[in-house]
Amino acid sequence: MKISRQQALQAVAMSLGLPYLEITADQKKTSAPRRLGVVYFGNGVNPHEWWAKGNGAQMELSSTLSPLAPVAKQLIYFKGLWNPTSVKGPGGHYPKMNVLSGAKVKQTTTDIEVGTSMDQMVAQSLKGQTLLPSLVLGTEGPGYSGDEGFSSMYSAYISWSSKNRPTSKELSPRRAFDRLFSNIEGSEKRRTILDAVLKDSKRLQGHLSALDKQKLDEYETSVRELEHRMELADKLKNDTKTWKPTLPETMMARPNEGVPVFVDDYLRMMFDIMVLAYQTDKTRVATFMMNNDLSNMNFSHIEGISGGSHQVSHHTDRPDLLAIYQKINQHVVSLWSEFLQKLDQIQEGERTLLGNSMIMFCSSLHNGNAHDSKQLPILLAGSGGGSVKTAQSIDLSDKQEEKKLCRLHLSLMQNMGLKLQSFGDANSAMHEIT
Amino acid sequence: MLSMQAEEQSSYPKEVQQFLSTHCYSCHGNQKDKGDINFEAQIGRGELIKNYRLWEAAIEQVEMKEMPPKKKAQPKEEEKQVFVKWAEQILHEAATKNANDPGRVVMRRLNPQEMEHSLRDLTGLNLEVASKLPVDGGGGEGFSNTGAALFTSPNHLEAYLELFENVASKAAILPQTGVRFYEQDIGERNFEAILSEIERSLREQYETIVEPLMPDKFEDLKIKDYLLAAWMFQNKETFKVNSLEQCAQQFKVDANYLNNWWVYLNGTKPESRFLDFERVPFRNLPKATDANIAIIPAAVDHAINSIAENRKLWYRMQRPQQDSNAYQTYGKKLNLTKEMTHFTLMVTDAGDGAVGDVVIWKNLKIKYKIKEKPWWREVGLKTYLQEQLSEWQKSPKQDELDKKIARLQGQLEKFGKAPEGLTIGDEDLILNGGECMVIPVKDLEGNFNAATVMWTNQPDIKKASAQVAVLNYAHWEKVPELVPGFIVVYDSDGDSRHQIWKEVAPMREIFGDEKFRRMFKIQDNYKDKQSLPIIYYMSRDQVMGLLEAEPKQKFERMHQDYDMYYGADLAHLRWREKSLPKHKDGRLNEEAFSEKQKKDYENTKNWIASNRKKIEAAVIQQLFSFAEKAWRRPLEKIEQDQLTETYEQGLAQNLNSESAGRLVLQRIFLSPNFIFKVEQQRSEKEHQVNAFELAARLSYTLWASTPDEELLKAAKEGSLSKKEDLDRQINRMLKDARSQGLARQFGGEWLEFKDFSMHKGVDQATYSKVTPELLALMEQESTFYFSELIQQDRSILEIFFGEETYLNEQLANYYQIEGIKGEAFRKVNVKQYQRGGLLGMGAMLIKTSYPLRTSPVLRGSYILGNIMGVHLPTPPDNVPPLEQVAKATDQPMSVRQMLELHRKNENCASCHDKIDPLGFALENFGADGLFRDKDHGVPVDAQAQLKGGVSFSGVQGLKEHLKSKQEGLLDHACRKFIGYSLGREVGIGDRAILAEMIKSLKQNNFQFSAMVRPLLHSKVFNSRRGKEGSS
Repeated sequence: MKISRQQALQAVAMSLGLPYLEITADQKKTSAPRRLGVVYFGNGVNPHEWWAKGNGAQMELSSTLSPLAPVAKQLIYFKGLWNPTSVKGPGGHYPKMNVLSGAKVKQTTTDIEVGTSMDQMVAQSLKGQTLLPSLVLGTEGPGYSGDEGFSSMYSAYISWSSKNRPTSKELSPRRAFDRLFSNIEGSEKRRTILDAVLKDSKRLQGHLSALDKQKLDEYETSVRELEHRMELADKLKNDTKTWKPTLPETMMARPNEGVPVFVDDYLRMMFDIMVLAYQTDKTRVATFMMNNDLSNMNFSHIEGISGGSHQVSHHTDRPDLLAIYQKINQHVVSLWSEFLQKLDQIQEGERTLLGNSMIMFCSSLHNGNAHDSKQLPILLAGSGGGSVKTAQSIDLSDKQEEKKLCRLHLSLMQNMGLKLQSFGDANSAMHEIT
Repeated sequence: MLSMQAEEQSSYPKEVQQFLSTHCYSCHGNQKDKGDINFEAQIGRGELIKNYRLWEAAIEQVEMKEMPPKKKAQPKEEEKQVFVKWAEQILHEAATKNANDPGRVVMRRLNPQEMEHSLRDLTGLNLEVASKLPVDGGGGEGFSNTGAALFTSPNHLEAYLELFENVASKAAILPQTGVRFYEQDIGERNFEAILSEIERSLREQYETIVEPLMPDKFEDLKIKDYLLAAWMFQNKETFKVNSLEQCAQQFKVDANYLNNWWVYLNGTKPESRFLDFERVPFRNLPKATDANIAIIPAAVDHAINSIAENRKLWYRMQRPQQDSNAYQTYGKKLNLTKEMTHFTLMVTDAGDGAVGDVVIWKNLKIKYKIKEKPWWREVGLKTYLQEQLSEWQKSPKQDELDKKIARLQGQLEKFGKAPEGLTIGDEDLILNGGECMVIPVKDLEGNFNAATVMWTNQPDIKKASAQVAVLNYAHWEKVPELVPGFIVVYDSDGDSRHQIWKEVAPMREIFGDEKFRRMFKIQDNYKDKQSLPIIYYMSRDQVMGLLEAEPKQKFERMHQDYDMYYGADLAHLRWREKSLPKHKDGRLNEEAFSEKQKKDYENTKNWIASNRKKIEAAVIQQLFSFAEKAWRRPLEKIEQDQLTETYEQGLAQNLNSESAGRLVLQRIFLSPNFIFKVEQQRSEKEHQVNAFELAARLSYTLWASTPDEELLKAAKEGSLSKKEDLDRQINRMLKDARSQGLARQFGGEWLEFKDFSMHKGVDQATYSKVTPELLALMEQESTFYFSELIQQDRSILEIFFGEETYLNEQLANYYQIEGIKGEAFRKVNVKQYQRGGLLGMGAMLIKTSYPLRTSPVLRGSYILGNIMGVHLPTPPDNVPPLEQVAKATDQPMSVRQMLELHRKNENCASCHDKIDPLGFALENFGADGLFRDKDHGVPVDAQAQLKGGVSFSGVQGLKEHLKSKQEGLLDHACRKFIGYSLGREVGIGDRAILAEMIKSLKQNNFQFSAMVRPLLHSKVFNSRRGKEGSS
């Protein structure tokens, strides 16, 4: 068993050019599995009101972070983390969209490249254990412009399956739901079709240019992935796992076609789908972009907020605009906090689902007005099944080496079972959180 | 990255070397290579040319005064020019070297809109597709059809699987009619359901075709006109006509029906005395003597009238004859008018002898109005006759009076007399078959009533058959066998019925009782061939004759489908099995079959099986044709074999032929041959795409959709390689309604009005009128504008400088433009409202605003970037806080004031000096797109001032300013079009074609097609690179 799975993973890893990965021993215990999550919001934060001080019970939260009080015990506040590559080079928003990879954002409108993101690396390693390797959600699609020499694709994705391929982001609640819960297994008809089109693809391979072959490879890989998923769904149904999710199938009604008109409803619905995905163990890696970078998402229904998010982030230090900026940040944090609390209400053995998770909260900018990414707003929630020591404020602003964000990524990846010693520009993990 | 090769000679001329070392090396040299740029490294000229992008960027940076940075020493203008001139030379060489390089076109997957349009054109259905697929981003020149930026993920495949399953469930796949898609899901249909659906649609088709021509009411039958037309043809030599069609035209009747009349009138079969009432008199019509058809001889007219009137009378009895029943009492009524002198009571014997024909007349009454008095008198017939008799007996003697009296006396004798075994009242009357009684009347206004019934309690009742008639004239001659319009009464169980019915039934067939029955007969054409000469009926051939070639072919195919499915119906086998020997448990007992039974059974089985095979073979061929359309090229044999394989796998999974066909459809759609615009690498060297690949490039460029039949045909015939033919196709396609796809995808993405209806950047509380419905109207405004510009081939400069836009009532109301009524969009001149073209459209003005206020920066960037094609560098990081002078006065600064502060800072000014003024000029349009003189009470300042003394005001001023930048506008539009058509970035090798396109525009009034044609004819468009090197 062990060998064949490793061999399978090895094969996958070789074809994707990933380092060879191995599942660590403690993942195979009968306790609940660990979950990884990333929640992103664009346009940065009001720098004056984004802070936390102290540890444990004495932890003090700023007004922006105050909605996190109910889960403060599970929280880590970081100060000073950055991706150096986002500062060296052109300014603006796009070059900072390497939050999860740390690699340099290539200035191009066509050959986009940002580096494989850490959540997708974890997803690839967990392939075969859950129906979906990862769930990537969002609320806004990419545009197609090429302002300033950067493709607008950059502002729409933080998850990248390979260095130059963004992971497809699901915007439709219904489709995300279907991906998790519809009966994809066992359809003989679908399998017939998938096998047949692979033949078409194989025939084409010999006739295409090298670049075109790459595109066809994406297609073939996707077809095979679907086939595997169908087999996997079959297998998982009959699999007598030693650990069973607390919720075997969903109780949530299938969402309607389309997207909720009211933005908070939309955001909450996507968060609920994430909770459900974790709870039913359909996936263990989920990434949610609440909005794109440069988004003008409008929260004007909240008292005191008027104007679009990006517009407000260019506050030019006006007190009234800074106040609105802060309120937007706080609102976004409160939605995240709701999500965390939901996770914390689900008991999984000796911990809650939150206790078994590591959910990162981040943006690609600090002070949006200055397009500043010398330090990023980063929070981590959840004890990672005991691998993370929470209720801390960690300030690494003065520590040149230690403040690399990739160190945090490396830790999270290691906690999820990857045997990696380096990632991006980090050669050591963030032991401060263990 | 420049490689370091110290041995090579430097390729820089002395002055350039001087320039670079003074101003650049310190940051971009061997010591420091900021931004990975190192000018100092020694490289050969060839490398310099290959790295032309570096020099493009360098020229831009130096000209925009970005480099050297402000804080460093600035080069003198002459020094700069020397450098720029030299760098341009490099670029020129690079352009020449790479001239007409087709560029790096990476295989492009269909994006959601292209997928939607392609499915629309393949199925004929308007399906909502784009919203069901993952959103695609874009790249290249900013379009979502850029191959390199289109990725395929399992999410896509899953969405495609579901989409194609839905589309396939709308497909009916029939052997001859082929693959047709319907709005409603058809779902899985078993054999019987398909067969009955074929029948249903055949019947519906027949009805649709014939219904308008079929006479509705009785009057529409136009019997007299048909008879006249038939008489005309009867005398065709006299009237010099050679066809029934001519006669039909003369009398304005339907040629098919006239043909049917003619066959009927001249026939003798079936034999029926009822039918002879038309046929015989027709054949005996007087011959025509005068060649002028306009004059119908009185005798002919009279005779034809009589035939027509009789026919109408017979119509009346056709249906009731079915229920004829000797035991029933039939009431007889006749209106009496003043002009009448006699009426007749009559009983015919229906031509089979009078045996049994005994009719009892009871309650014979005349009711009439007393002259000059308001009351009526009702009197029994006998009494009436008696009164008449006394009156006559009292009258003075006249010749005929005696005869009349005698006759009347004889008639009165009959009352109360009945045969042996029957008793009737004194006032009642018996008339036998062949007898009649003529009643004199004079100046009476009223009616006559009687109740009649056959004498049934007699042994000959089964032989009885008689018509019981009351006629409104005197019938003195021998009572005929039959009179028109009256049913023959008989015992429905009797012997006489058989013969009568034998003659009535064909009459009902030929003349059809009611319209819907006639229609049923016509609808049965698909299976039954009628043999009688039915009049208001059309045979299958006659119906086919009504159709044009294409619908006729389609209809014939429907019949062929029916024949095949009919032949493949297991019902035939079941029918046979009914009479075959069976075991006790109901199973067939094959051992007990006779030889003949065995043979027949086998034959039926084989016949059914062979029909099924025919169906399957035909369905597969249909699938091949469909695949050819979907894959945009002919299939190779092995591909056909593979489709057949999938089909057979479907059959093996117990799917019927249609359902297995649907499986193949899904497989055709999911194939990379459909999803990708495949272009094969046919050579290591640069080569042309083949005709089909070219056709796809053309259709996806001009329609954002799949090639249509005409274009595929042109590809097959090789005409796309001929200049005139290619030109013809291009013109056709631009004019076609499908070019709206180009307007939406090209115009919409370039000028950012695509999906404007989903724009979320408006504060609803402040601008409550700007609803999603309004945004949708604005999107339509822009889309129509662009679309009409393309279809009417107008000047592209109208986009920027036009005076018109497209409005409907609702949108015009919003813009406060008067005089537009109705929902339809139409072109309106809006110059007096300061609008016209893109710069006055809501989609542009609102998109470039913030939720609560206008943004001159966004608008200026839009104009610079989208219209003038000027590249701006990325804004610097760490924009320092701006001073808030207004802090002292507590008044927030206006947007304009804040932006002017921007420009005080040198770092900001370099770009904002170019951006902001353009946006200021549009300040008269608020964030809601409405025209305003004041902004929050402060008068709007739409003045704009550019470096170098250029100034203008308002949108008109802006337009004038843009007119002076025409070269840049044209260049940018052409670049965008290249980027869209090929799905890539524009490169150095495109300079030549760009120049050609611009020249063509200038020579042709800037018409849209003048931009399109040079590109689509060029090598850049119809060729591919050889083996991919580095770009």
